[in-house]
Amino acid sequence: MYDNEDQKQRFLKPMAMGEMIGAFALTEPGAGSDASNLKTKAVKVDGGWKISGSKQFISNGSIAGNTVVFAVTDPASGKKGITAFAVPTNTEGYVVSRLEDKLGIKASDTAALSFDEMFVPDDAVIGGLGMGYKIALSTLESGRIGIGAQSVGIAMEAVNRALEYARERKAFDMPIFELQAVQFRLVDAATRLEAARQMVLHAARLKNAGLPCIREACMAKLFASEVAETIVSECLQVLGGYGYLHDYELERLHRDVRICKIYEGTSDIQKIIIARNL
Amino acid sequence: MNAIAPTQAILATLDEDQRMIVETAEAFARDELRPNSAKWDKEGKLPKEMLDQLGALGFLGMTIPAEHNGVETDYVTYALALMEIAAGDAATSVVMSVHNSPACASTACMTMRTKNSAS
Repeated sequence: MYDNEDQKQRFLKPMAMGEMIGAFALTEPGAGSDASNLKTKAVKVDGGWKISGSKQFISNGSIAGNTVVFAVTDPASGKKGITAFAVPTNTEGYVVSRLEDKLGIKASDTAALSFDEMFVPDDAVIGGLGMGYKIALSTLESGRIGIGAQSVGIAMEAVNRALEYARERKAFDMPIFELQAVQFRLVDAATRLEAARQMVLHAARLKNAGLPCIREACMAKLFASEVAETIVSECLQVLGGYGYLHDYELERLHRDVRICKIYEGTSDIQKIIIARNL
Repeated sequence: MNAIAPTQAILATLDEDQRMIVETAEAFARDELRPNSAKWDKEGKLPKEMLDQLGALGFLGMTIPAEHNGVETDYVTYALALMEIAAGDAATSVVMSVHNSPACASTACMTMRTKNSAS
């Protein structure tokens, strides 16, 4: 029924080798973490499916070669009626309807997508009919470890830039790093950073060991993204007026870090999942 | 090495291959990302050549098994590499993290079809 090998050659191989970028289109204008509310539909036709609906906040949505699109194939079955499709972005009917203008991570594309009876063949189905929700869930641990790591990376850059500045900039005839107020601010930032990093690495180690780590991955993502914003803000403060200027990196880091508390599940969503696992 | 960058202590716990991946990420961030990050932020896009390079270095498809042509690195190495890339340019780290998981991770589920025949 399916040529599984062909599908792997066309999508997985070039993606794994970094020759084709991937995107993940689950979120819709009216459904994010609440995936049971998906409206995008796939209707069975001869030889494949016709997908109609719209997707929102799709990172890589315009630069990807392959987008994994989630659509309802069996409306009566709820979460078990969701199917994932591998959709080449040059498919007729794959429309990038808007590129969002954002606060930060401005060089990363965030696309709104719309599909109007977009035809995909039977072998576009990933993992079998009705497996979409399960597939989406299976990516959550590594996805959240990823955003935790990203938060740590942005915060790390902020601390390094602030340290560099504090050691060079002089006030009252000494580098401002000699002022205990500045020292303590940077000590707090570095300590929080280390805690966030260890939480991310802890979740990653559990994942390596094949152990369930959704709680630890959510905790790491929650904590790292929250403290990263605080760290970047405190580091910006070290630079005083310069921290507020486009020409000094802290201004950009301050804009970039904010998304970490929002995507891949907001901080509140992480708390809901952690609560279920206490 | 930066004052706060992945501590030597963490790097010391890695094997040769893992350490090389993290150090490659750090070098890529230092040479290719950090010097251009402000420009890309203004332009609102990332150059395709840089993303090709990111892929060629193995940072896309990091946790995909080797049998499916991935790098098959572990999640600690993945997280440490992603930290370095994010420190160099946050926008690039978005492409990298979204590509690896969920995009690659969910696409890799096409290999489970033989095991799970749903409905």
